[in-house]
Amino acid sequence: MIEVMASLLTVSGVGFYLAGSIGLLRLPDLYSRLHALTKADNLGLGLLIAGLALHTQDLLIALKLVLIWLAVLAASAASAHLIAQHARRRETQS
Amino acid sequence: MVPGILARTAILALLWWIITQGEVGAWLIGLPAVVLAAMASVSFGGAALSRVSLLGLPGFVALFLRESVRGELDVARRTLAPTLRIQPGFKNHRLQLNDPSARIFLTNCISLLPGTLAARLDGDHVEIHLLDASADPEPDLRRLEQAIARLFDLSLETNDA
Repeated sequence: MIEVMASLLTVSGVGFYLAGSIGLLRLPDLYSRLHALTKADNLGLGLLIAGLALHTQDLLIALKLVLIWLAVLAASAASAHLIAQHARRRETQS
Repeated sequence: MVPGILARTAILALLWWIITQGEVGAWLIGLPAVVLAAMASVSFGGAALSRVSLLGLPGFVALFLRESVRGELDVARRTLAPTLRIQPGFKNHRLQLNDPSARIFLTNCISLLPGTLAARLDGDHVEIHLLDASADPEPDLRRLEQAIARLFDLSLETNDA
């Protein structure tokens, strides 16, 4: 039962990564593409990690996986913000 | 100052314990690293982050997860549709949070939540890029700000200008 749940979570996480990658290719401009990037990190990796955490059935490893998720979220939000801010400054100055 | 150091040392020690998966020998490096990191983190400031309220935490986590799933499904529908159903644009949002570190935390949450991206933080305004600029993001942003205010035990500026 837990194995089935873990597989479902992992597969849906991969699905969101796929949606994010398609978004990255299809979306028209820099800002919209940043949307696709940060969101794959959030929900895609989140579900993937939830699935893996269930799969290990070890509390310490599960906590470590959650920490990895939080670290990726912090890095992803900060880099998206820096890229967007830089692009916006250039646009409004010229 | 001192309680701040103690709380941070405890949190960092917990992190180290998780990262090393309870390996006893690793404390040889971990203990000095934890103490130095706690001292460094106090000297960097970040007052709000040391005030996280345990009462506000579940509410914030629930809101963040719920909004992530709801927004992501919406964004996926828009980007996977045969013709892209997006209408990108910028909107300004006036921040009601006063605390600088809480503001940065809010900007990061805005960027992580689907459909919104914080492009620029400028004084008490944040410029937000929306995938669908025809929708009004204000109600969602207000709810997020309230949850973060409760998380850090802060009050919101309520003068409606």
